[in-house]
Amino acid sequence: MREITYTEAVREALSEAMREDENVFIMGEDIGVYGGAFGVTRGMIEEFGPERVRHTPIAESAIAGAAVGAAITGMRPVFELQFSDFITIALDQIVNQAAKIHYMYGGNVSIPLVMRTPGGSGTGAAAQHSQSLENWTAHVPGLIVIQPSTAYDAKGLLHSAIANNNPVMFYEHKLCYRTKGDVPEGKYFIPIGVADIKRQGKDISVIATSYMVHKALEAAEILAKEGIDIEVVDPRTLVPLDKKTIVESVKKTGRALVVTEAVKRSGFSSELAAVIVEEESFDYLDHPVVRLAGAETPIPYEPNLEKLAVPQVNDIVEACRKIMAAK
Amino acid sequence: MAKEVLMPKLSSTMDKGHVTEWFKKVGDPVKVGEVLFEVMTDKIAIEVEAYDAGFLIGRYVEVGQVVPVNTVIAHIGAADEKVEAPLIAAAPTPSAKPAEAAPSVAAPVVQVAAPVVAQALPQDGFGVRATPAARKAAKERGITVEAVYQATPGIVRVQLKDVEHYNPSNVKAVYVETGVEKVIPWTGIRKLIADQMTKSHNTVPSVTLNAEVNVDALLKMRAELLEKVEKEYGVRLTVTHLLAYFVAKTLKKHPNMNARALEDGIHVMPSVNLGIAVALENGLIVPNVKNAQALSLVELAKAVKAQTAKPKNNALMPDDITGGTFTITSLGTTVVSDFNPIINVPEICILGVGRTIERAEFDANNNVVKVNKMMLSLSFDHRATDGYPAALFLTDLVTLIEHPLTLLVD
Repeated sequence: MREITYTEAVREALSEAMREDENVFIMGEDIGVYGGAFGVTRGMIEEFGPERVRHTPIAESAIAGAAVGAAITGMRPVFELQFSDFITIALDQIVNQAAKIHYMYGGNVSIPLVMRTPGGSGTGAAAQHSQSLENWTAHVPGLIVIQPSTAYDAKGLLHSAIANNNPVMFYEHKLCYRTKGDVPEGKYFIPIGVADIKRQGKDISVIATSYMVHKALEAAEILAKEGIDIEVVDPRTLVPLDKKTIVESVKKTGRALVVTEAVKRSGFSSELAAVIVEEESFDYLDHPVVRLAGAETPIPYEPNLEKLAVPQVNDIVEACRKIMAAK
Repeated sequence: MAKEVLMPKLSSTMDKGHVTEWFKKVGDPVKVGEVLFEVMTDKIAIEVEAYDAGFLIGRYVEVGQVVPVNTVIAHIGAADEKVEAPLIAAAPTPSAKPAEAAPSVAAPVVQVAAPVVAQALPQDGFGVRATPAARKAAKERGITVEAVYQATPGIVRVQLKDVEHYNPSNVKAVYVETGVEKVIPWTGIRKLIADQMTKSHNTVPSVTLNAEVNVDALLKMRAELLEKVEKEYGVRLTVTHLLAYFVAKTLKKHPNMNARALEDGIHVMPSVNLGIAVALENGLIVPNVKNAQALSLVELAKAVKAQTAKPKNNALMPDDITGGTFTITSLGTTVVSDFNPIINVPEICILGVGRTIERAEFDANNNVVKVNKMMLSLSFDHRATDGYPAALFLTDLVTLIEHPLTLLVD
């Protein structure tokens, strides 16, 4: 199997879907000739033309609203928010329209749209371009929320998202774009709502999302040398959440560390921790659930401070050591 | 020529005895008058001195081994002298077992090999912290997380591994001994007291009567006599001396209370052999004053003083503690106000004396006055006498103490 980047994997899924179904089209700021802020759609306008690769004004509410309207008429729009921070402008269309219409029209209308957007810090993009706000849409019934961490997951889940008849929030991560992985050629689906165990282990279940999966895997290598064998669980889909995989992992290890980049307070890490203590895994816990998550601060521009604001590999290593050393 | 050391016959009824402690080892030099051993008779423990000088060259009975009187139990002779050990006969009553083991000191518990020093349970009111996994595993094993906590040094929260590692047989001590446990054997005076008290408690149906007595007159009498008696007769008059005197006088009016309950019946005794309980460092003993009813106050005070000094000077002989007919036991110097004394069998009465307390009372004119009150507790053997005669005795005693001048006319 060939190895491609996460960026290329997303682009492949989009292109494959567009080639197969003429109702699929993409919209967004600078996605045409420029190829998107992170180059995801580079070359697509040449293949599909400006009718299906529509670059838009800087007006997120308009983009989202147009996508909702197109979906109502039977199209399968995939729109890009250049930074997930800009969802503040698009939320009314997403939360009050996309998420509600199928329900309020008695199931007579579906909204098969996909919102793609990069979240997260680590690129020096400062406070307005570095947030992890996936929890906002995860809170709203009627939306599917996906956070792929690898190139393989990104392609397979994006195909599933485009094929799904519900509005899907597809959160990419700026630092994931450069990561590479084995990705099959051609279309494949990864089912929505199925978590993936990225590394088997027996000592601690590290439930990590998005780019934190990569940091957890790096920490696992360091910890393995010390005899600490962590299991890295990637939920991949936040809504619907694969509770069973998480619960079974914690039942096996008896210890859980939740790692998210999003701010800890009221973040999705709270939901993950709650599931662990709420479900059968509670009886197997041999240590309190530990969360590592973003600091309660706007993401700083200064690179050292930016790193301090979100969990790093060493933080995960230290947290695991502490859990194992507990008396 | 080696001299024999015999098991002494120390009272008319003694037919056997046993050594409770040896003060000399074989090979030790011995001087005349030095204490060789302590012997236990059927009544009392007595230290026995050497009659000969030399070296202890043979010791034939162990501590606790009961042998008949006049058995050769040791030899004193020249340092290099050889003697043949005598055959030691068994005691006349084979049932007499050498129950008293040699005094021993138990090893401190902390010296047990590699013990787990148990951790004290948390005292914060929330109990032991344990993870759900640990609680589940403990439940499955049928053990408590508290036990695991105590058995795991340095533990903060009981975890699964702690439950898995828990092995109750590894836990040697549930607490840390800080000192050394000392065993006081049932020997000597302790054994005597234990037997006497058990016998009394198990055989005598005793009743205790309490009465308050105004001791203002008694205290006044003592204050007036104290200096003169001390100066002229060399004895410092005590409250106990006065009480003893009043008791002896009252017993004259109640002869049936001055008795001994024996197998064939109640022996009403012609003379008052008044016992005074003496607290010793290692126990309690009751020497008595013979013919107390015939003694003047000063004579009685002197006799009580002499008899109660004997136990402390190791001068007590069997006669001093036998033949008693009535006992006074006082806790008057303590905070105890009244108590239930156990009868010194075969006597039938014992008078307990409590402390003196200042009280406010109404006098004849309904004025509040300050008086000194003492509690008297009379225990009597209800087989030998009854509540009413005992109460009458106590009434007369109280009346006499409160009105000592009636002695002049009675």
